[in-house]
Amino acid sequence: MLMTCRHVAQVRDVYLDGELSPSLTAEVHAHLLQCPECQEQFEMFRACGEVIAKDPPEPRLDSGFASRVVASLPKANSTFGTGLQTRRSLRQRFWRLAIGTSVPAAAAVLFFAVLIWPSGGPYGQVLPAVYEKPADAVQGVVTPTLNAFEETQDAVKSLGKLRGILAADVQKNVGDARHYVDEGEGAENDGPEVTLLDVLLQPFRDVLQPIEEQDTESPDEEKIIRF
Amino acid sequence: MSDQDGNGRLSPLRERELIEKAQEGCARSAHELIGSYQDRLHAFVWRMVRNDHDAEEICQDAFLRAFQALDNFDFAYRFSTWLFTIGYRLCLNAMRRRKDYSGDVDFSALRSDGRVDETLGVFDEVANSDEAKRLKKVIWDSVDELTPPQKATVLLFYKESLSCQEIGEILEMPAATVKSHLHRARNRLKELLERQLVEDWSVVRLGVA
Repeated sequence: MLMTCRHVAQVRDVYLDGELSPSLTAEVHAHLLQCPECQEQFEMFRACGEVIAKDPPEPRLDSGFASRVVASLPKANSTFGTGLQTRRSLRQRFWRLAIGTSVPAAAAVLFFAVLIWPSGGPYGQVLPAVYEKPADAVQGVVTPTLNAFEETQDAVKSLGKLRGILAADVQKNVGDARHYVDEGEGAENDGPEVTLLDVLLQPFRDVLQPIEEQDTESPDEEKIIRF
Repeated sequence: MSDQDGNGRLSPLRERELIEKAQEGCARSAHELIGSYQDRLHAFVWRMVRNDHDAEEICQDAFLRAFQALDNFDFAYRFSTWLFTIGYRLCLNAMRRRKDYSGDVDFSALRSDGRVDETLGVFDEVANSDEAKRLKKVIWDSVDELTPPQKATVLLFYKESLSCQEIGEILEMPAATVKSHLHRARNRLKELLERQLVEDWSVVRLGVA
C-alpha cells in the first residue's frame, strides 16, 4: 500500500535530515510521483535548502580583516616581527627565568652557610651557644652530603677501573695489529694511554688500520695509540 | 596530504599544525587560520545579526577570544566548532543589546529590518529570472523570521552542512533539541512560504545552481 499524505508528513523531517531508511525513502518517492501537493511542498523545502546553502547574499569581509585581527592580538614579545606572544609562552619564560636564577642562588647560599657555620670561623667564634643546635642541624645536612660525595668518588674510581679493564681489552684486540705495543711495555703502563676514544672507535679499526700502521712507523708514536 | 579539502577548507592535520604554531606565538599561522574561517564565520554571523558593522565587530571579537584562549583548546573538537560557538554567543549578546532577542521569545511576528533589499545586488549575476530573484528574497525574508536558535540551526545545517550532533556542540544543546529547532523552523518556513502562492519552486533551484 502506498503512503498517504499524512504518513509522508510524519516522516518529512527525517527524510529531509537524510536519516530515513532506503526502503521508506523509496516509498516517499513513490508517493511524491502521484501526489502534486506533497511534491510541491518537498520542492519548496529543497529550494529553501539550496538557496540557504548556495546563494551568497552576505557581504564579505575585506582582505585586511585577518591582518587587523592579528594586529589586535596581545604582543608581549614578537617572534615574527608582528608575532603574538601567548600567555602560555609568557608563563613558560617566567618559570624558566625563576628556576634558572633561584636554584643557583639557593645553592650558593647553602654552600657559604656550610662553609662558615660549623668550623668555628670568624663568625662561629662570636656566635653564642644558642646557635650550636642549628649548627648541628647544618652538620646533619652536610655529613650525608659529604658521604654522598665520597660515594661518588668511589664510583668514579670504579669507573676508572672499568675503563682500565676495557682499555686492556681494546689493547689486546688492537695488539693483534700492533705487536710492538705490548711487547715493549706492560699492559698496566699502556692502559692509561688508551683513551675513551679508543673504546668508541674500536668498531672502525678495520677501516682505519692502514693509516695507523703508517703512523706507527714514527718512533715517537710507537707506544701511544692515537687517532 | 592536501592542506585543504574539496570545499577549500583546512584539513584537520593542517588545522592542528596551524593551531599549535599559533599557540607558540606564530602570527603567520594565526593569519592563515583567520583567513580560512573568516568568510564562513562572517556569513553565519551576518545572517544572524543582519548588520554589517555588528557582524564585523562580532567576527573580530570571536577571533580575538578564540586566540586569547587558544592554550585551552581541546583538539578533540574542530576549531570551527569552537569558533562558531563563540560567534553564536556573541550574536545572542548583540541581539539582546538591541532588544531583538530575549531568551526563548519568538519574535517571528516582527518584520525583518528591511535590509534585504541591499543584498539583492550582490548575487544573481547568472541569468536568473525576476521570479527566481523574488523567490530567493522571499526565502531569506522567511529565514529572518525564525527565532535565533532556529535560524542558527537552519544556517548551520544547510550552509555549513553540519550534522545535528555538530550543531548541538556549537549551540550547546542536545542533538534532539537541534532537531526540534530544525523541524519547527521548517514548519515556520512552510507557513510563511505557502502564502506566496508560488507555482514552481524549481525555478529557484535552477537559478541557484
